[in-house]
Order: sequence, then C-alpha cells, then structure tokens
Amino acid sequence: MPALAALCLAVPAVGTTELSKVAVVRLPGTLWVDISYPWPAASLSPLALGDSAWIAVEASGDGGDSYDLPVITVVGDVGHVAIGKGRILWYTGADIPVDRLDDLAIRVLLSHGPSIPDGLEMIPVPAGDFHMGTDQGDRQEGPMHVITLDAYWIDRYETTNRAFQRFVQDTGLETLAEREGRSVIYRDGGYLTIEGASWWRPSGPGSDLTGRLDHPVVQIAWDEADAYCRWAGKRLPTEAEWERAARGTDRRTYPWGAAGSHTPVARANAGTENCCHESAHDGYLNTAPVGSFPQGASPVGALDMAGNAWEWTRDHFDPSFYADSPRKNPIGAASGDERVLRGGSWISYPFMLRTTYRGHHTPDTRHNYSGFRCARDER
Amino acid sequence: MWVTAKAVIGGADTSDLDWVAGDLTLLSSKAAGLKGPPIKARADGAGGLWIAGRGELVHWTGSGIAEHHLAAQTAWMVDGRVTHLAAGQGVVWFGTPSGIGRLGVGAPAWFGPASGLPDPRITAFAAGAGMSAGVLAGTWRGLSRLGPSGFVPMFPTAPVTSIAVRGDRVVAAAAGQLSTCGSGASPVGGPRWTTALRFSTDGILWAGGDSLWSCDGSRWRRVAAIPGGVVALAEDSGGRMWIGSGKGLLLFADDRLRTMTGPGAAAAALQPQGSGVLVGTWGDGLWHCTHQTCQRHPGISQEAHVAAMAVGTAGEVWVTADGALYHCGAVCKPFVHPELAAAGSLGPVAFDDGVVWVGSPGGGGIVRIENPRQVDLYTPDRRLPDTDIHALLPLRDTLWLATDAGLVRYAGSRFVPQASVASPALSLAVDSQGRLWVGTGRGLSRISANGQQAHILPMAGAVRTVAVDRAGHIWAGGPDGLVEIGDSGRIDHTPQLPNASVRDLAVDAHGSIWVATSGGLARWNQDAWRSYTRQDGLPSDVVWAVHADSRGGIWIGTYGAGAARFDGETFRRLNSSHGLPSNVVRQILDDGAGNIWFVTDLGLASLRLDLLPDLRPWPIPGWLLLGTGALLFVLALLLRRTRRGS
Repeated sequence: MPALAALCLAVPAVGTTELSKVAVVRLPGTLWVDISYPWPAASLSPLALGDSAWIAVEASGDGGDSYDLPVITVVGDVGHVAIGKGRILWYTGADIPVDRLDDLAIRVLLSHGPSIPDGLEMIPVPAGDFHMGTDQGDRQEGPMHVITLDAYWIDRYETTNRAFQRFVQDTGLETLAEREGRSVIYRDGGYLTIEGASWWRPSGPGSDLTGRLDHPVVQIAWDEADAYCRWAGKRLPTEAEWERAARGTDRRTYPWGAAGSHTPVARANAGTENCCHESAHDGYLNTAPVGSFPQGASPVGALDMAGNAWEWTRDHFDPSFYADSPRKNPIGAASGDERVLRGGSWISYPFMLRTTYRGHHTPDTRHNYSGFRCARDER
Repeated sequence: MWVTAKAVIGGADTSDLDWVAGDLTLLSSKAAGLKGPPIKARADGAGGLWIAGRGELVHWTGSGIAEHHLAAQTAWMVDGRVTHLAAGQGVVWFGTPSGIGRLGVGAPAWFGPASGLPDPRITAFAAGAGMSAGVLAGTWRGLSRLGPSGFVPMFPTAPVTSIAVRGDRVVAAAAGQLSTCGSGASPVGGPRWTTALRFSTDGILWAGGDSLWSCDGSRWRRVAAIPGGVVALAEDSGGRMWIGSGKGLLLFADDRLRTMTGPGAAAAALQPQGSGVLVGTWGDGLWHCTHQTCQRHPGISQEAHVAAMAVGTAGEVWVTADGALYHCGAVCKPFVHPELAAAGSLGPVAFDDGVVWVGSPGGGGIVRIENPRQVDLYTPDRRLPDTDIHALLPLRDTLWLATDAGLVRYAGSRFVPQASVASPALSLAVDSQGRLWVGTGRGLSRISANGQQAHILPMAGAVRTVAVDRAGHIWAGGPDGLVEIGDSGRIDHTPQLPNASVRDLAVDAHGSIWVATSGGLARWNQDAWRSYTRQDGLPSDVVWAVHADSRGGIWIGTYGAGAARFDGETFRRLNSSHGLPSNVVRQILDDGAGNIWFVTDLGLASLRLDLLPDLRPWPIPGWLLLGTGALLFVLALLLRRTRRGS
C-alpha cells in the first residue's frame, strides 16, 4: 500500500506532542484512510504519562504546510486511549473534498489531558465591580446596576471548529442537528431549515470545514456548548461574566470603545445597518477566523466579543432579571425556557453588537451564526 | 381553413373564427412533461419550447421531453457526492455523506436521519436484484435496512466498513470490531479491521483485513496473512476466491493461496468474468486474469487508478479510472459526453437493465447512460432555485430565467443564480447590442453581453414586462404604469393607457408598441396613442398577453375570454369553443418554426401560421425576394464594368 506520509516528530507545542513514525495509508479505491502510530516512545518525555493519554488527529491537504482539513469521521484509537499501538480509520468521504486526498499528510497529537489546540489561551479577569446593563437600550437591558464578580478566566477566542473537532474525536458526540438531520442557516436574506446542516456542514450539504478549522464552531445547541466546556475543564460564562469581559469597568457600549462607535468595520465581523445580508464589507462573507479583528479587542483582551458568532452563556433568560438580580456573582434566573446569547454575529445589525444587548433562544436552537466560548473559576 | 362570421357587438366590428377540426394542435401539460399547468413558454430556436410551470421547467423539443427540472423546494437530491452505488430491477440506490438517494421506478426519493438512518454518512452499501433486504446502508453509526416505514437500525451500531449478503443472511463489519459469522460455538472473530467481506457460493463467509479469514457458519478460521492487507474479494465461476491485496492479486483455490504474477499495485477492484477476473489496480491499470495467467487489458493507461467496474448484459465492461469512464470490449475506450464532463471526477459505477449509472464522489451527482446519445446528469446544482418562473429567454448558449429568487442563468447543466440582480426578477428582454434587460421588483437591471456586470435603473414600482423598440428604447411596464427610457431620458406614458396595470408588451413590424393592460389594449404608433376596449371588439378588457405575429397580426390573450387576432380593423376571436384548452391565456408566442402558441392555464395549443391570413401590406414571396436580389446584383456588376470602361 502506498504510504502517503510518514511524519517525524516536529513542531513540539505546549501541552501536546506530535507523534513520530505515523503510517498513513489510503485504502486503494476507497475513501478510507488507515492511520497507525506507535506510542509511547522514549522521546515523548517531558510529558508525564500514565497508562493513558489523549490522541488527536489533524490533516493537511498540502503535504503538511497547513493542517486545515477537518478530521471528524474517525474511529479507533483516538481521544482518550490506553497506552499501546494505535490504529485509526478515517472515512474521508464525509469530511473533505476527494481532490484533497492527493497530497494528504496526517499528524497525530498526544497530550496528557483533553486536547485543546495551541494558542487558544484564556485570559484573567480580575475580581471587582462593574456596571451591567444600560438604561438606553431595550427594556430588558436595564436597569443598569452594579455587579461584583470574583476573579475568573475567560477564553480569549470563541471556541473553534478545530477545538470542537478534538472534543468530538474524543467523545463521539452526536449533536442535536445531526440527530434530527437538519438545522437552520441564514442565507440570501432568509432563514432556511436545511437537511444535513450541522456543525461540520454549517451551511448544509456541499459545505464543509476545509480551511475553516480556526473559525468559530456554529450550529451548536446549548447542551453541546455546555458539554464541550465541561470536557475542557471549563464552563460556560455567566451572562455577567460575559458582559464584564466584553465591557470592562468603564460602561463602554462596544468592546472597543465608547458609545457612537457604530462602524464595526475593522473591529468586528458583522452585518451592516441594512442588516442581515452576507456583507463582505468587513472582509468576510460568513464567519471569520477567530481573532481576525484585534482592533475590536475588549478591555481585558477578549476578541470577537462583538460579531462573528453569537455566544451561548450559562444563564436562563428573564427579561426583568436585572431588576432583582443578586449583586454578587449572579447566575441568571433559576429557570426559564430560553438561554442568553451575547455578542451578535456576522449577520447582526450594529446595535446588536453592543456589550449590553441580550439575545435569547431556546436551548435546542442552532444556526450557522451561533457558537460559544468558555470560562472557568480562578484556581 | 379560416371562415369568418362577422357580428356587431356594441357598435364595433367583431368576428368569431370558425374552425375546421385539426387547425389547433393541443399539447397537454402531461404531454409536455409538466406536473401542473404551464405558466410561461419561450421558443428554443430549434422548433421546440422551454416551458415553465410552477416549480418546474421543461425543455420540449417538439417530439419529446429533453429536460425536466424541479425547483429546489421539491427536489429530492440533497447531496451530489455519490460515494456508493448499487443498481437492480430498474432502481438505482446511491449513498452520499448526507444520506441515500433512490432513482428509477417510482418517484425519486431521499433518505436521511429523518427517515430513520442512524447517520447520514454512508460508509458501506448493499442493494440490488435478488436481495431480500432491498437496500442495506452501512453508516457511521451502524447498519440499517429499509423497511416499509423507513430505515430500521440493525447490529452493529459502530461505523460499518463492509457488508456481505447471501439470501437472508447479512453480515456487516464494523471498524475496530470483530464480526459475527453464525450461531456456532465461536461466532465472533475474523479481522478486527475488516476491509472486505464476501459470501462465496458454497456459503462460506470471507473476511479480509491484515489477513484472510473464512467462516463456515460456526467458527472463524484464519486462512493466511496477506501482505499489504485485503482490499477486495471476488469469486469466479469456478468457485475460486480472488483476493485483491494492497500489493497485488492473489488466488485462493484448492485450499492453497497463490500470488498472481502481473498486477503490480493494489488490486482495488475485482470483477468476476467467467472463469477469471478483471482486476482494476490502483496505479497499474486494468488486467484480466485466469487461474493460469494475467494479461494487461488494453486501452487504459498502465498507470491508471481503477476505482470501480460493472459488467453489462452483453459482457461489456464499464470502468472508472482516474476519474474518467471507459467502455471496454476487447479494448477500453473513453466514453466522452458533456454531461460526464459536467459531473467531474467519476467513481462508483453500476449496470442494470441496459442502463449504466456512474457516481461522482466529488459532488457532481449521478449520471444515467441509456445509450451514447441519452446521457442524463442528476445533481443538486441542477435544481431550479425557485418555484416561480416569470419569464424565459434563450440567448446564445444560455437560457435566462426570471424567478422570484432573482435572475438565474442555465447553461450546460447548472442553474446559476445571478446575485448582481435584485430579486424578484420578473421580465426579460434583449436589445440590439445583445445586452439583457431584466425587470425586477425594484426597477430595471442591464446585464452586459458577458453576463457579468449589472447596470441598475431604479423604478417606482415593479417591472413585470420589458421590451426594446426599433430605436433601441426600453419600455418597462408594471402594475404602476409604463415608462419609455430613451436617449433623452424617461417618458411616463401611464396617463395615456386605458389602465395603469401593464401586463405585457409587444413591438410590431412597423415599430408600434402594443400594451396589454388590465383595462384594455393600447397602441403607440410613435406619434399617438390609441386604446381598444370591449367597445372596440376586445373579447375582454383584462388583457394578459399581447403578441405581434410574423404575418402582420396582433394577438391578445385575455383572462377568461380566450384570445383574439387583430387585423387592424377587427378582433377575430379564438376561445375554448374553438378548441383552446382554456379561456385564460397567459402568453402567446411564435416558435420560429411556423407555429403560434397559446399558453393557457389548462395546457398549450398551437396553430400553423400559414393558416392565418397574411396581413402584411405587401407580402413578398421568397422567390420574388431572391429574384430581385439577383437582378440588383447583376445591375451592380454591369454598372461597375461601365465605370471601369469609362
């Protein structure tokens, strides 16, 4: 069988190690790829390995220059696996265009915990007070009130497809959109329920994640966002935590500054005043790679807090919650039919990008414009 | 034959037409291939028609239906990436990463998770004649079989890599799991990573992974290690088992494994042929092997990667190699057709009842080949983007469609929405420079000859009909009136019309503009307006269509009162009492082949133009034109000689 790639140990990164001597074989005449790897090797120190580890697989269609092909339909020794010789089968037919098989390269990454892609760091948010809500927005955004939060950490970026792919490789999670076989997409000015749309086909059959692994994961229901954060040792941020990370302590209207900054160009991937057309005025017709708008950074350095993808938060939605909110570490209403989403998305009007704007949907809702990021307590 | 009987209605001349049976030729919706009534039609320039109904588009050639397209909302193919294929008894089943499609007998159908499939990703497949299960789908989350009310899950529930079927016995291998071969003492075994499964005619189950295994129904037996692993299995008519390995071809016969000399690469596809086997290799072309020897099959590159093979009833072989289709007798020849080119790289192939089916894993859909001239491509991209087609216009090699979803271009085998034009697109016209004018819900758009750029003229209201006069002026009509756009700007003609709601426009041979409105007919002779209503003999004031025929007559189509031909003095009626399918006439058109067509809400009807009185001022016979031309030519030559002489 022709070996397509046999990669050596390369690009060691924090927390993960790329395994050497990976054998990759395309089963002739099929769309299956057979990946086998030996581990552990003596060269794997300094990782402190027990008798198990986490294995993630990534693929390149250009011989290894960029690992931007989705690897979702995999089975075998991937995810949390016992020590020993590993073998993985990948059904490429579901994940990538067939013409990307010609110059395929695979890397197998080993880590001692759930595998989070490098560079997706968290940022600290110090304890203290901040003004939450506004009296100038929709009624549900007020009244403005002072909230005290303990210190916490929040993801600098929205959760990416690459990160969610590792979660699915490990857990085999089947999302609600996959189980029901359909999901909602926004296209050409309208909302369409599309058969076959899911997180790995965000715009339905014919779309895939090739070249989009560093975009925010979308088509995710609340339970799936919550499950990912827990798998990663984190949790969804509360609505207050989300707003504090987006707004800082100076009551700003947008993450990047004061009221009046209605032009999100160069600061956010969003719609226009005319709304909701797939506007490429910001350089992206759809979602953008996370962190593409550094000028839109929030006071704590969080990116894409406005636009790109709506973000699930932990809280149930209650339009009048602010009137009776606990002043310290609020976690939203005790119950409710909907959960809060924040930040607007690539199709949102500029006014939806305000740090105080409260979106809300039932937890089973998923679109090609809503995703999430995680937070965790200070440890 | 025409017989006219004059009558006087309301003081004006009018006439009914009396018809001799057979003057009108009817084309029912069914005969035109439509599921519902026709709405718009247009001549295709070759004697046929493009006919739009609600949610469908038909190309009718005059003798049959060449193409039939359904709109997206009613289309059945969700995904065009065909990775698995099986055909039998007139039905083809195909697997994609988004579910399973069925085409052939009955209505096309699609099966996804909503139909009970455990997962839309089809990873293995079994279907066809003689299979009691109908179709078995190996998916990413397990095996499933089609029952009366959809797919029913079966064991295993892990990713299925291969399926073997023999009568009622079904065995599926799941990635990373051992297989069950029977109910004996050790039914579970075989390779953990099974890449090929097959029953032989004696009931033995063969499984291939890193080794070859067999199961007699009670226990697994490891037959031999296979260098390179097993990738394909086939049994010939002599009961010999052929093993395609990652390194070449092996033969298992008389309890002995033998490596065949010849194929020098992975034997990816095996097709039994008599006492031998055709061997498609992954990089070493096509071979034919008997148990004694292997010979290269000519006509396919020696470096070809063969993906799949199918054998026809006459023993001919269809092969896909390096993404192309070959038809093989003694020699393989490429099978070339524009629809195959449109499908892109080709993979699985199957043969059934004289029809070859070929799938394109790259997204090009599925191709049906009945004979070299009848090749059909089915792909999601062929779907009409919208159910409502308001206008059709063939222009050069492209058919333009004005739809609720906007302007759509159909060329070759794809419908391509033109995002530069606002939606809805309602009307179409072409000017003398070949530019396309599109009436939209917001105004007029002009598309350059290369189809790229749009020049937009905002209007007060929707433009549901557009025409270009002989001076190149654009006439745009809609529910709010009629505007002429010329060199000096816009002129609003609405006040001169009998009704502001403009339905249709026509330009006659003299350059006059005829306007169909909801309150009568109007004519602009480049000097003055003249209106015609029931008082003037119109069968109805609600005029939906107007058309200038090539013999000098002006036709109108009305809502509820049929059609009429105006000869300058009299409106001669044609309605359901004369055989017209309905008195609701949406459109009237020439087909360029000597017929005039009436699009009614109950079907189409046509009339030969040469049955109509010729109303042109001086009808000039063709022989006279030719004779005059020849005479002028001779005179010109004589004059030239005379000048030279002087």
